[in-house]
Amino acid sequence: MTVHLVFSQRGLAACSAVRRAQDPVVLLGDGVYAHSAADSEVRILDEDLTIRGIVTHDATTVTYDALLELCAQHNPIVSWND
Amino acid sequence: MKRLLYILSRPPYAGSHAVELLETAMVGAVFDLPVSLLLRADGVWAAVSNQQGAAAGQRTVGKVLSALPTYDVERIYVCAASARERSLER
Repeated sequence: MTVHLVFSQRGLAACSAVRRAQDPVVLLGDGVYAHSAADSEVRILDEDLTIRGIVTHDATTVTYDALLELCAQHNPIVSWND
Repeated sequence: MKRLLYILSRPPYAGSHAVELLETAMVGAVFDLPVSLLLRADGVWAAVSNQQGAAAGQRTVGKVLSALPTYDVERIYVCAASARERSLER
């Protein structure tokens, strides 16, 4: 299964257009600014939210360790940085 | 007399662009030039409170921004449309 790493707001739109429903999606870096456009299945890296002072309600956040685990368990790892 | 307007359009933690632009604005003010700053597009994210740049090993852009009036950069503008698009309120 594929894991999608989304680094930008436009990347989220591009990723959403092609990803399969069961593929996990993680917002990180400046991709976390797209949190309000993301559905509840999308995970968000908590550290990158903290750095930017972004507060999300009912968002699924993940730690770096969990991100690492997702990357280890999935193949391929696709980065979106449009 | 020359007047300067600095425009920040990029988000605060994409490299060191934002901090460097704010520092450049301070330099202008040191030379007694009237300096204004406009935050627009993703630059408006610099105005979000409670940023923690230290977690990324960087300076906290929000703190640098709030220090600007101390350096006589007192006219700071935020593009209302850009803030609205990003659901940011003041």
